[in-house]
Amino acid sequence: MPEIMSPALVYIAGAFAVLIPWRIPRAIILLAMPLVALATFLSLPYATYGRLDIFDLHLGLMRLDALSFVFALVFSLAAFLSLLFAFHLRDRLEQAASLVYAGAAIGAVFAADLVTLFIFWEGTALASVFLIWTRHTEGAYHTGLRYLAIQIGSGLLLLAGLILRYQQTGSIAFEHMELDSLGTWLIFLSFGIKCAFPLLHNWLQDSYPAATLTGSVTLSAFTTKLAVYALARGFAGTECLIYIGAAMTLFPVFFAAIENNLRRVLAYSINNQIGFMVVGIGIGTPLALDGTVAHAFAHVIYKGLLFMSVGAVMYRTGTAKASELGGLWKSMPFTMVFCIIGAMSISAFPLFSGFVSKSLVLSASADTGHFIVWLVLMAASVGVLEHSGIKIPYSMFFGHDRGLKVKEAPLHMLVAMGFAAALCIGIGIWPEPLYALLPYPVDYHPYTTDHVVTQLQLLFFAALAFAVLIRSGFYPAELRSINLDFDWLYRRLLPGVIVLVADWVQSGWRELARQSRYRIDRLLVTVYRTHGPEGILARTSPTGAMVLWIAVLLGIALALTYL
Amino acid sequence: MKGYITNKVLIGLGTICLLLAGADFVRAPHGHFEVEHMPLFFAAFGFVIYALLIFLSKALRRLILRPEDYYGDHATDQEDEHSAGSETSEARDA
Repeated sequence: MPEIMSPALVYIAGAFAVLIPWRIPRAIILLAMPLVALATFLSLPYATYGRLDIFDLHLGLMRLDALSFVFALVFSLAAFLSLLFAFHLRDRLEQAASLVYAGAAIGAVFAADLVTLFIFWEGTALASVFLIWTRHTEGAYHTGLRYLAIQIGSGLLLLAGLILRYQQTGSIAFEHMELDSLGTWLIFLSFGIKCAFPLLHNWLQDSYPAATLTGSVTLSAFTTKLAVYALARGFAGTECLIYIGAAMTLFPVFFAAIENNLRRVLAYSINNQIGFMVVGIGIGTPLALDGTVAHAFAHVIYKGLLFMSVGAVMYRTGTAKASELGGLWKSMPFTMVFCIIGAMSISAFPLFSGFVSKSLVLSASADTGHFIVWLVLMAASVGVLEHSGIKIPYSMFFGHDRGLKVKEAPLHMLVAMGFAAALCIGIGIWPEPLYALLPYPVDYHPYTTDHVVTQLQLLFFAALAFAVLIRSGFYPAELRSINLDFDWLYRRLLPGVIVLVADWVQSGWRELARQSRYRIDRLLVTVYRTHGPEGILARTSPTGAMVLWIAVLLGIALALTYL
Repeated sequence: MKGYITNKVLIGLGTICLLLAGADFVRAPHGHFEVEHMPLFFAAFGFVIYALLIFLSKALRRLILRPEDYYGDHATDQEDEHSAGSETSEARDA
């Protein structure tokens, strides 16, 4: 394969294939793009390609090393699977957007400098918003605007940070950074927004359920994992990330347990899973970083699979709300099996991919003696089982039988889900190829008796608790509802405050205008009285009066001189 | 909701849990923390945390539950979800 500047260019050029008028040839050509792009870097030796010097800036469009390779590989896989899942799509704008979005994400992963990173960073934001807007509804339009504002804001922080850093260090290289200057803090915050740190996370739960059903599969793969990559590259070993990550794993489980929209449950679940990766980055040991990368790899696949299964159900039934679904195991048995495989992978059942990746992070937290963090991660693992392991499949395929009569998912969706499911099991049973891809050599054996038994105890006793709670009627009912989260502050409180302030300013301004008009009127009356036709100053005075006044003035001046 | 969790399922789960509890005494704990050596720690932890999580979530729900149209036109929550690309909307469009 000839050396090209960046595989991102293949995707961006490939997006022009949407101009092909015939639906099936178009979809096939789009599907080939991730494979072509993959072929451009798959066998290249590790080095930095696409070096450019513009003014004093040393750009590197394609830094190929162990870390960027794994992320680019799984992004290519995700792009392929989501395009395959969306094979039926007629909307060309959405097709072009998914391709450019995937390309921008891969371009960002390969960026060797912060300027290139910034350009692709904003590229992911601009392209991905169309996956929401192609829903073509009023709500999707507003949600897309909110999403775009936050994503572009993240990019602008990155830009500001890199400019400050350039002024300070004279370099724009994207390397490991310390949190010791405003510039690096801004970059850190920018990564944190895209990574959906606690309190910066709501764009995720707001936008992913608003996207099209195919769009949310694509969205689930790239943005947050790109941020994980950027944090792993720039801020490995930054201690505060351990606690940020631990908080991220825990708080979403409460929201997910009572959420009705299953795609929003999965969005909360992304938060929780990214938390494990962020903890790994914060610990920063080779084992922990390997855990982060392995978990990101496994996560992209099983999370995509879960979004695909919910998407397939949406495609047939027209809803992803738990309160409207149930009993679909009879009509969509294959989708059910694939969904359960994804659910068991994310819950980290032995023989599934989550088990061999998450345990690296847990092990690293135990190795470094973070007892509380380890406990939090364990509790969060129970939480994952609750919302992604049990709630997602149970409420769609079992639960209340709503008498929905639908067909099994279309063939291309089943193939995409089957492929992802096979990877989930393949990685779980045979983790060595994944371990071999990781940045550091792995000496870790997930399948010890102790580990398997304790993990199964944790999961099955939690499942027993579910069974007991549901039998005794304590399990939360599915209600058509939404739940407030932190975004209430900027969706309700802030607009409310702005309206209030606007009211104050308006009425204050009115009062001010009324008062000043009154004063000006009075002034004019006085001026008229003195300067008007009858006014004292309008009289024509004789010359003698002027002489008199000059004498008075001179008299005062004389008196002042001697005072 | 509970229709699928029949007595059979409950008994099956209980049996698996009993077997796993038994397996606790044949494993060779090699954890870093003392609690990992405690018998049945992971089993108890899983059960208790799961139940706690559900009860805390239900308490949280009392605070934050709102109707679907809370955010009005500015959100997709109250919209017909067929617009997200399900086959019926496709048939309508075509």
